Amino acid sequence: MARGFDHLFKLLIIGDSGVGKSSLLIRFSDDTFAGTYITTIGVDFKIRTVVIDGLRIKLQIWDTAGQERFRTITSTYYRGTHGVIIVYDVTNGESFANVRRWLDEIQNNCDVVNKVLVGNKNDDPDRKVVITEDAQRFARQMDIELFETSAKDNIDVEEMFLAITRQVLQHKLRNAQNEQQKDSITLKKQQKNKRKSKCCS
Amino acid sequence: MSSRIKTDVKKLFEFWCEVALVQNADKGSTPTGGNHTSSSCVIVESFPEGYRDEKTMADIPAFAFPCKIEGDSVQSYSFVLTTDDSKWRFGFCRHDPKTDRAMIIITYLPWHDTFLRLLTLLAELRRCDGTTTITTTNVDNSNDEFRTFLAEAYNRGVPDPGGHLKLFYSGGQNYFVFERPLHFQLPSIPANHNLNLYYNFVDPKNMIAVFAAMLAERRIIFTSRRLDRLSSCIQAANAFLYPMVWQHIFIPVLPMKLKDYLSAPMPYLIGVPQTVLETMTPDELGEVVILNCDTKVFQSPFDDVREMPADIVSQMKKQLSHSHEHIGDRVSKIFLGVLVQLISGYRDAVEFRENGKTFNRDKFIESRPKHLRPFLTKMMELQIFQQFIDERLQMLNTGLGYSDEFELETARYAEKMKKRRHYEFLNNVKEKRTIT
Repeated sequence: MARGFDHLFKLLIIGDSGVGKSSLLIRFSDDTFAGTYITTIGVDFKIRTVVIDGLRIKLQIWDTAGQERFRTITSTYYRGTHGVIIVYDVTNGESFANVRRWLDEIQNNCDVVNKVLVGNKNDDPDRKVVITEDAQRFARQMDIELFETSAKDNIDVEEMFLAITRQVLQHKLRNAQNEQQKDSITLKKQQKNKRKSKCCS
Repeated sequence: MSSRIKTDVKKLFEFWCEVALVQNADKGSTPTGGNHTSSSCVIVESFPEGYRDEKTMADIPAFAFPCKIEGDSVQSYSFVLTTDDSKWRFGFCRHDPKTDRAMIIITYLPWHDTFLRLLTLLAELRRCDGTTTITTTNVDNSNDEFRTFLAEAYNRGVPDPGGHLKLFYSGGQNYFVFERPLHFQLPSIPANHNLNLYYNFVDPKNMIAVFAAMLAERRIIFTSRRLDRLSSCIQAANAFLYPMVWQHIFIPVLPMKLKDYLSAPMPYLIGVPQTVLETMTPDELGEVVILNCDTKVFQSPFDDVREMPADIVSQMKKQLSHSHEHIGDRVSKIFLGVLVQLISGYRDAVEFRENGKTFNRDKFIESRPKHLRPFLTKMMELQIFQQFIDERLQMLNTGLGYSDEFELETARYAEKMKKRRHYEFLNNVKEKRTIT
């Protein structure tokens, strides 16, 4: 294929500033840990192509500046995306509270189905305030997969990105299959009707 | 808070510089975005000396020459940079085709008309300094008028709301006035340059279409071959959202090297020079609304105008067709009037709770006239509306009173409706009497 990939997925990463969204993205895109990255236009994205089940999937992961000013992030923000990565900082309770509110909104008002919950900075047990059990309970309640990661020490970052990618891919393939089935059903119906009309004439 | 304008600004501007298009330079950014050109743009002179924002300085040349600049007249335009806390920082730019240089001022103050005037004066002072260098033997005087004026503007601070700052030049013979706009002044014709261009180049029908697309938080592109027209039209369209504020990606002029950002899946409002847009495929752009400010062609995969309440649309069309009334802030008021009709009733849905005042969505919808409800239900899902409500609640909760142009217009509208209802009531009574 000339364009070099089988699927293009656009994902969003959301969470307060300071939770390590940029570090996660930088880690994922070229595997080096670096500092700030967001551009002077308040938005940035990282690209990487991964292979899942023999399919080449190009990922664009988008991030915008200053999301913590939103008490809720409304559905229009998610309209064009295939999946959302929701990040909090395990050493910062407030960042978890924000994420809970945003997830509520996604669950109630948005069509986004593919998402993962990420507790980042999981590399210093002494500083951890959002305990795994609480986060896990919340994740189960919201029917969302939880990953506790460390961008700094490169713990579970790759796994998390691959998990959301797999989720989006399966969702897309399932939808395509359903469409096909629907098409074949309508086709059968049409054929049936055709035959009927033939009989009558 | 919903505002994206920085408050407590201490300086009239942060940075001044001149960017030149240099042939065969090794460093800098290329206006065409490709590697094959032999020219690039670099900052050749700047003020103040100690300016440390390297990220901004690295990007300025790309915004000063976002693409190959067409035309042989001087162009003044503006661009916007967004800070990490999502505030807007403005870049005012004056490009001179004769020298192929651009002068740029970076500021947090959205005083478009003042800064465009200032750039004209700065260019003039620089030109005069250039001539004095040749004619006078006193080297100390050369290039000094310009530098002195710039330094004074930089150091004098920002005047209070409604106030102004007078700066003298030419040995005290002339002066320049930095007039601080009143807090909530609506853009008016002909004082507001951005609105003038938008009004002149974009039909009322397209203004309504853009307004409707913004009220649906679409991915919106403006395009033009002229950078001044492009940045002005975007800024003017954005101002019509008042009292709401665009909360998403906002890039009035997109440089060639950032064109990949057009595939962002989130809502955006981006001004794309025609030559930049031409390099993008429909596939890369996706579902996007495009207004061409030169050809007056509006394209959209959606029908957002039809989604708006029909009576409001026809009222806008009618008011925008009365062009003899449009001098002053009338055009701004037409759009403000629509938003007053749609959202001013938010006050009826403010509830008093233990933890302060809250907004009850259902109560709001139910309190509105029936024909507005479907559209208002959709508006509840807008980030711009959400932030508007949050801002007004915060003002109420902190006990800060407010009386901006929106609240004044709301009061006027309520008075009008009261009179109309009273009139209708009297008519009803009269009718009943004649029947009995």
